[in-house]
Amino acid sequence: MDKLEEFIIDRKGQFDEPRRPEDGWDGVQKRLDRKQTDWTVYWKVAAVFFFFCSLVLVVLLFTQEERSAPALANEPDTFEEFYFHQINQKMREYTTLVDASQREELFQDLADFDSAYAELRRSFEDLQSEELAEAMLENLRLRMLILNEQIELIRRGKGQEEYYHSS
Amino acid sequence: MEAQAISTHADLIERAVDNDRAAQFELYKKYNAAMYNTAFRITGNTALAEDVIQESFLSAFQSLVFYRGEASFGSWLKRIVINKAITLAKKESRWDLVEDDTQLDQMDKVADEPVYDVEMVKRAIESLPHGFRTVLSLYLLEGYDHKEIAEILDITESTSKTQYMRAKDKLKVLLLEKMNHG
Repeated sequence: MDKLEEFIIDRKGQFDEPRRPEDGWDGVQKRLDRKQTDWTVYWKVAAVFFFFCSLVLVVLLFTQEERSAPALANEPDTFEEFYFHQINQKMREYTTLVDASQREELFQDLADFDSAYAELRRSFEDLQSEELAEAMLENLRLRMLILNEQIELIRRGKGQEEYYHSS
Repeated sequence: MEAQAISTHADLIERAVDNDRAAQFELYKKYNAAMYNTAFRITGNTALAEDVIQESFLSAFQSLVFYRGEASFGSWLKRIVINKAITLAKKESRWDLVEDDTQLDQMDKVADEPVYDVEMVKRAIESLPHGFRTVLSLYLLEGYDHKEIAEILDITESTSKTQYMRAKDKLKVLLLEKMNHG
């Protein structure tokens, strides 16, 4: 260690700018108050999560195609590409099966998932937390399950229609 | 004393998770000044440092539920501040590694080191290029080692070491210039 390094390390505290402890709190508080309202959106999204979870739990047992999905990883970059590709594919498939109004309804729900995901992604960039990575993965999986379930329901409905028309 | 400090913080953190504004304010008061200095040293701008502080505390309070206590609250928060500061500095094009500095290559190493003065060194650090200032501040003032700096800045450990050495040389050159020109 040279003289300059020693000089700086020994006087670390003196390199700080003077600042009162409460400086800047008003701005943080205002934004916390605003954000608190925003969090109600997440509760709504969470409610949607659970609703769909209960609906599609059974589908888990039958959908084997997701088995090739990457295992839970701490690095969202590793699973994002896979799931985004799958979700886009399913959305395209869903689009071919329903009319515009039905499509709009589901895509609106998926947009809520998307906003929640973006928020999780931002937090993950800061915290690199495993829990956040898991929450992100769960968000993507749920979107897949919802899309699979909807596609399955429509197909089943169409199959019955065809059956009744033909009999 | 240490254990006492940890338990006091644990109580504050628990209340802050429940959105207790008084507890959040207490945490803010305890860490605001130190975090501001960290942010200022990276962004090199008071307004940007202020933005970083707001964003960081906001993010920390909202993510507090994910804080597991593996590191002290201060170091957990500092990582958030550093990440936010670097992101913002990059967005404002205020941060970049210094690839080449011919002035440094041409200058001989400072043989006899002068007597330093805190205020002068502080101003010289502030006038370093952003990449240099960030690496130097993280190493000397925030106490991170090169492995940690490499992780934070997403560079290799050897790049961190090289950047640090060059930053230190540049700082010495700046100090010499300041001393020679009054």
